[in-house]
Amino acid sequence: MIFTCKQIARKMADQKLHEASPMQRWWMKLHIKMCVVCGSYQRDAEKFQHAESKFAEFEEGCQKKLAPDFKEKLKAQVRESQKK
Amino acid sequence: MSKERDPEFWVEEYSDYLFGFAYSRLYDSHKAEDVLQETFLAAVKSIDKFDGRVSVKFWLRGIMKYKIIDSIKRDLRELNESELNSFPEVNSKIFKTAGVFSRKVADWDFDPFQSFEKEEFWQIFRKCLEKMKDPLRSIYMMKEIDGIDAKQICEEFNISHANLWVITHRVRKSMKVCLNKNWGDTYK
Repeated sequence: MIFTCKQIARKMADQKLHEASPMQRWWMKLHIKMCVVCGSYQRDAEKFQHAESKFAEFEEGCQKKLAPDFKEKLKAQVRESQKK
Repeated sequence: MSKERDPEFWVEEYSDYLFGFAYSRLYDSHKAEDVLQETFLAAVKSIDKFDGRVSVKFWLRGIMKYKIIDSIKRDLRELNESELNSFPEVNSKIFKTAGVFSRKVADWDFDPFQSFEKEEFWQIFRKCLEKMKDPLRSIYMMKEIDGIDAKQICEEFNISHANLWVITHRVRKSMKVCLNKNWGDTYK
C-alpha cells in the first residue's frame, strides 16, 4: 500500500487522516516520517491551521462601525419587512 | 416581544459586528452593506426557525455566511469565462507526475508561534490577506477561517476537492511570501 505525497497532502488538508483504516494510517504515518517534503508540509500546514484559528479570534475582537444613517435605514427596513 | 426576537434590537446590537464580519470577507463596504441588509431581511423571514440553541449573534452570522457565498457567486458570474477557467489546475506544478512534491515547502523567516502572540502580526496578516486575489481569497477564508465544510464549498462554487486543495495551497504559499516580506525582516 503505497501513498503518494499528493494523496497524503490532500488527506491532511481535508483533515481526513482519521477516516482512513488503521493500516492505511500506519502507511501514511510511515510515509510522512520517511519523506522530508511531506514532513515539512505537515508541520507547515499545522502552523497555518494554528494561524487561521488565531486570526478568526483576532477578527472577532475587531469591530467596524456602520454609518448611523445606514443603521437607521436597516431598522426601517426590518420594521417594514415584519409587517408583510 | 423578547429582545432576542426583536429585529430592530438585532440591528442596534449586532449590525456593527456583522458589518465587520462581512467586510473582512468581501473587502468592499458596499458589498458588505448589501450582504448585511440581505442577512437581516432573511433573518426576519425565518424568525420562527430561531430556536435559541445558539445566541442571536451567531445565528445571524450563520445566515450571513450564506449571503456572503451568494455575493461571491454574483461576482463570479460577472467575471468572463476565461477568468473562471483560470482556476488552478489539479496537475499544476506542485507535484511531479508520480504524485511526489516537486519541491520542499519554503521556510518561515520568523518564529510563527512567537509572532502569533503579537497583535501587530495579525494586522500584517490581514493586510496580506487583503492582497490575495479574489475569489481565491474568499474561498480560502471560508474553508480555513470560517470552517465551512469543503464539500459544501465545492458544490457552491462548482469546483473539485482537488481544486479546492490547490486554492488553499496557493493562498497559503502567497501568504507566507507576504508575511516573510512584511513581518519576517523585522522580527527574525
